[in-house]
Amino acid sequence: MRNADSELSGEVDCRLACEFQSEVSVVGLLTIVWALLISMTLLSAFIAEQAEPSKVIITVICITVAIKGVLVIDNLMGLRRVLPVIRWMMLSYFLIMSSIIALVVSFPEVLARLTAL
Amino acid sequence: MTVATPPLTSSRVSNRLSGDVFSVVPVKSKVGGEGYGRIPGNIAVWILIAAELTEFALFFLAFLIAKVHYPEIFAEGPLQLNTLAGTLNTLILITSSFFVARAMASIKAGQRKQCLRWLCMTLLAGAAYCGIKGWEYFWNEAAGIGSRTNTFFAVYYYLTFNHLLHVLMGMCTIGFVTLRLYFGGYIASEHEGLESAACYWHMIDLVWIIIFPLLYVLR
Repeated sequence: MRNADSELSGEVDCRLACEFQSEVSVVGLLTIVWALLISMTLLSAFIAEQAEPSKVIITVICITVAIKGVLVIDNLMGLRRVLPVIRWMMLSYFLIMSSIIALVVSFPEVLARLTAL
Repeated sequence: MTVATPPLTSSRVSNRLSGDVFSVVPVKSKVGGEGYGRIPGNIAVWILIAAELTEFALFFLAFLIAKVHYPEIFAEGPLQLNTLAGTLNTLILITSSFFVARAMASIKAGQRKQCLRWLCMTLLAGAAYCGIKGWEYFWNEAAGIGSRTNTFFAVYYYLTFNHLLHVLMGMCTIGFVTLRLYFGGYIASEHEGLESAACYWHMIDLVWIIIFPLLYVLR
């Protein structure tokens, strides 16, 4: 009887230890993602203040936007482990919007020609 | 290798043994069934999120079309804006999304008090965002900038004020779920409403992630 109790207690301890580790790792992941997002925002602000606009800068900024979107959607919103349709709907929005912005800002004359009355 | 285990209480043990703690918690949901592959929150909030994102996508396209037709105005516009206010608001919104994610992790772990604390911090972040946005508008006013200054500022005010209204709506939603949580409305295995409010708040953050470079950075 005592052996069975101690076995059960051992199992509970082991499971709690694993879950505590999992809890720590999730909090750690969220903190890393937050730090990355903050760093990328500060980088964008620095570029806004310092660099002269060029196609390379525009591409870098749009890639930063896409990466920030993917980080928020997958990690903070937690869509990485849910129904793929929702995740891809959100990811494609970000990838398409940042691509459109990069293309329009890099080649404005094309959109100007297409939308001229 | 030994792993430090937090002190055990009977509620903590029963809570811990009721299911996994993070992400793949088999939370009851009206949509998508249980466990891996389900939709967070409810279907109504996802329809709302899709509608809001479509609305903002149209605003972004309108902004880009105006930008290619008035290149000089749209090149000078961002230089006159308060980049510090834009940057601070981006940092605050990203941090508020982090707070909401921590709140979700806390409720899934059955830590109601911690979840309440993170939600209150989200509300504070939302209030800080509104305060900074107000300061930015006053700063613009003092610099002689208004919604009728030129096309760039008309679109700038339209986009940012619309986003501000969404932040206020998000704050009301987070405030409501915070109250519900305080009165015991959500538990580790049943928190669909809280999850829906969290998804809406993240959507507000995502929209700002596009607005910030579009208005303040790219010129």
